[in-house]
Amino acid sequence: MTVPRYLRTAGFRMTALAAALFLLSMSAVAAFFYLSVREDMEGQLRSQISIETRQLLGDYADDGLDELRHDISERLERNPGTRLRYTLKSPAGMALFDRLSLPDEPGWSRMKSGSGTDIILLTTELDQGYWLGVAADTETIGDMAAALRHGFLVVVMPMIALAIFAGAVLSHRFLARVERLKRTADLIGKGTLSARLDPSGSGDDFDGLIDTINRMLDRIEELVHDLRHVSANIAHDLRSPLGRVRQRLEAIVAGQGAADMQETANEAIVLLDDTLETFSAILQIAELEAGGARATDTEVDLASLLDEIAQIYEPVAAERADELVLRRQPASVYGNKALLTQMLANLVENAIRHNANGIQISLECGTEGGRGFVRVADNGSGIPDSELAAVLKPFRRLDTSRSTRGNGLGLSLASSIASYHRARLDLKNLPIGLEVTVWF
Amino acid sequence: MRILLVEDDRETADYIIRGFRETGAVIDHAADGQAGLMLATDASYDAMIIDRMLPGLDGFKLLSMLRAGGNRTPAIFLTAVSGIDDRVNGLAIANDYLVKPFAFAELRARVGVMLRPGPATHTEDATYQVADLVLDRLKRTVKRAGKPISVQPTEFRLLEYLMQHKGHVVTRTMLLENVWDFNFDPKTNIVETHVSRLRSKIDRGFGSELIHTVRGSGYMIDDGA
Repeated sequence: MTVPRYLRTAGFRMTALAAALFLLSMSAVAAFFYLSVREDMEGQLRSQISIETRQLLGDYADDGLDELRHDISERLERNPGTRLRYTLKSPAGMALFDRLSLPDEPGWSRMKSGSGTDIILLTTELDQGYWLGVAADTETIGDMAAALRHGFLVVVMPMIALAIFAGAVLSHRFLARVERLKRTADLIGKGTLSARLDPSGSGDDFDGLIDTINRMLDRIEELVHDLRHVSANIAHDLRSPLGRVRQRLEAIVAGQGAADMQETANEAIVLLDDTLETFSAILQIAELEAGGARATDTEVDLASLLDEIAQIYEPVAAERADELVLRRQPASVYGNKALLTQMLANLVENAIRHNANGIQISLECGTEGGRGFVRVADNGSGIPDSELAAVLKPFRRLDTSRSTRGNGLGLSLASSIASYHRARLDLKNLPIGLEVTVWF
Repeated sequence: MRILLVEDDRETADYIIRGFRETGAVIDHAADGQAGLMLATDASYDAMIIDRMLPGLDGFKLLSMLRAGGNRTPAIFLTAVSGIDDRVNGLAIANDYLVKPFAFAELRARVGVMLRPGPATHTEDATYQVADLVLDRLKRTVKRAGKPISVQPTEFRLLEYLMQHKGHVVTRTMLLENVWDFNFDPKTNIVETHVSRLRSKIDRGFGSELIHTVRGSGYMIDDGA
């Protein structure tokens, strides 16, 4: 037998559990009610029996056994419907009136009546071996219990039915939403990464979850897009130099003069070195992005680091008629000096290589709002605003600069080094030129 | 010159062995760390070239054990491991660190300066001298033919490194690492421009050129004799 699907849903199970708990608590309340009412009613019967016994014993004490017998007959005649029963037992064991079999000792006892109901009995020993028993039938208590049971069912059964109905409706609605989510998820699984889950608009927990999942899907789509872009660019950037290496090797095979051959082979080696270096850069970015060990971090003085960078690049800049301007304020950060050097070198080289000769490059460091920063700015051609965010991603190189040597990883490597230091790299177009600031 | 090579990749090992035999060096090869350790403790070598990643006993442990045992033979790590901290902790026990893939000329130059045979300048010398060029490491002055030459701090470090290894080829990468602390390859010709500036200061107007460009390898300073 297959269980219908809605019976297996979390919604239905939860409703069923709630209904069961409700039923249990209702039963507990009813049982408590029943027991206390029964005790109360029994107490009343007992006090009635006690009063009756006391009256009869009073008469017996005043006027003897005959008067007692007379009293009992009178009561039975006057009140035929009475619930009380009387028994008088002679020393010979003869029972009179209701002829209940009395126990051999005085006090309270219980027994079964002929019709099967419970009887409460108070036995009293009289003089000369006579015994008096006054009893009451608990039939009324049974009636009360039956009424209570009936009432309970009348109230509870519809409630259970209602709970099951509500559970079914809720789980059906729940299922319908789950089904929609499942369809969308299947679609995404099959490759439609742009698909998004539909919130109901009610702002419930479900919508909150859907919102979170949708943001996760946005990120996944972006990453997959980046990955495709990067793979395509890696393939492109590696295929071109490898193709040129192939041409060189072919030329050698075709048989050149010895001198030319060496020249050609050297060119091939340079091309391969560039390619290998691209791989190194990719590996380094991967390592930086992964976080990893920071065992060699130290306090790095940004001002003296900028000094060194300026000294190193001064001759290169001078050769291009570029001007290096240094603006240093005291600033230091905790980090990896080799990596910070590489980051600054990359930024300076980026300014030098992607601009025409004769620009001004300013190197600045300092502290602002409690945060250390380094800034490399130039008055060159800048980057189109639409490309600003994209150039930090690996292999994003402006088409205009595809011809310059380099692998297009310089800025993304700098950005990776910044994030390794939990710093932020900001790119900004100036009225003239580009400004890169790393905030620590 | 006797060299120990511990390298598990057959092709790389052959490439290195062939290269050094051509220079006339004797080279012993071990294909794993255990064999390397045995050779290194049995015989004495002038230099060791150790791959960092080896089957069994890895190169780093191998050299650590040798160093702990008092072995001071100059060693260079040859490695595909180029993580952020790997170079630093590698250089803590090795004299040099070269990342694969590498050019043989680079390895030869590095082993060459590690060995420094003959009447070499020593790092503890207060002055270095090549022909009539004198560098005073304490006063931080440079003179050629008795005439003071003013150099900038980076030019001084560059000249100091060249003169410390006079008669040996130093490669562009060695200069980048040792003079500028660059462990990456810059995209601009900083080495070339610095060397050419230095040349214009110490060679121009004097009879002989002391700084030589070694085609395809690097630079070398010597007496020009």
